[in-house]
Amino acid sequence: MMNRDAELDTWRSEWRLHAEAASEPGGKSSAGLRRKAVRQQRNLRTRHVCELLFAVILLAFSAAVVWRRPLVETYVWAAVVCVATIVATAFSLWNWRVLWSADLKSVSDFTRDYKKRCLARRRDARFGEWFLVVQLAISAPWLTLNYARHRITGAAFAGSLLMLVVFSVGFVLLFAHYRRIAAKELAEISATQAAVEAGAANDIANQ
Amino acid sequence: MNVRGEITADVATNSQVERGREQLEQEYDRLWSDFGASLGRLASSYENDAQGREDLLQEIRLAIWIALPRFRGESSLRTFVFRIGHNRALTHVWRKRKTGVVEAADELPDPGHSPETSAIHHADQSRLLDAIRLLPIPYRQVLTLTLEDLSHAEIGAVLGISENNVAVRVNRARGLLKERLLKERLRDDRLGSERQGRR
Repeated sequence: MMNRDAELDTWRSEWRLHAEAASEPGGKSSAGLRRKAVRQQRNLRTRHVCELLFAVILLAFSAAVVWRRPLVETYVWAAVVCVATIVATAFSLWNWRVLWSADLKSVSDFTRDYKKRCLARRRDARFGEWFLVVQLAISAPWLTLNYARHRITGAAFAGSLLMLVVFSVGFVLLFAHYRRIAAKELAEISATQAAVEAGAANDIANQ
Repeated sequence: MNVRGEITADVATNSQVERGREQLEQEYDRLWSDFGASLGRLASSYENDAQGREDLLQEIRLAIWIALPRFRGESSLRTFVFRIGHNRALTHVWRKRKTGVVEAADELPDPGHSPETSAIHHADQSRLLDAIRLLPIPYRQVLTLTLEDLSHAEIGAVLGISENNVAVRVNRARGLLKERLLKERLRDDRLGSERQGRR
């Protein structure tokens, strides 16, 4: 029978030999890889700056609407938009910070943090759904009231309602997508954790 | 400060930034030349598709590039690199659209392949690597780290588990790997004898 360490050594040399071909990083130079990494980092930063800019534009838009129509319902709408934008941006920034600093942690700590992030993302999607309901509860009566008071034309009323429906459907699908992804990732994490527990239970049973 | 002084200060700051950047680039290049092959093998153990493997390696490269300036030497460089590698690989696996593809590959016969072509396919591929890929992730991790010559203490630091726990997992992983390799060998033998029988 093969000695345990000799067995490990055989596997080790096989592992290095056989996996060597697959491990070649595309024959690229390290400078090329570095450049690619730098470019990717820049792209990620640009994406986050764009997210921040979008948040600023939303806040400025709500402020402009309030300035043009200083009514109670406009204030309520603007307050909801501001709160939601700030919460969403704060979540995005937290997610970004956690995402990259988490890489330095041990695998078990990383797994725990990743699970937290998935739960946060699912919570975020739920929050988004409730926010949408609140938005609709404000927007639909507000539009109807304006139409009834002859503040907007029939065409504008129909157009606004149509836009509201289209956006609502889009957001419902988006939130459902987020929830599905979070649920799938949570299931995968649980499966990874369960593999260890199953192995431990098996070891105890074999003792 | 006069204008000349301001310009001198700016030049000094820029040259410091430039030097810092050069140093970082050198560290990254050195790190990649030391650990590139190991990280490639790590990616192979998580991903059998060539494109997926390249994507995963790219994610690992990026994560290392971002994390490197924050490396303060609290752990060894090996621990730092393998932590990032495994964390990124896990994210890659969890985010993959199709679940359980790799795990189910052992049980499901490929309808597009005859026994002959399957035999050729298996002969071409590394039996060990295939068997490692089929292990549950926690066992795959300890085994690949062991095969990369990391001590139990280092594996414990990468995975965030005790050395005792590492030893238990390594034993269990070796047992599972032996089972898989035996199963593969028996399957190859059966296919070989079927081919000979037909001739």
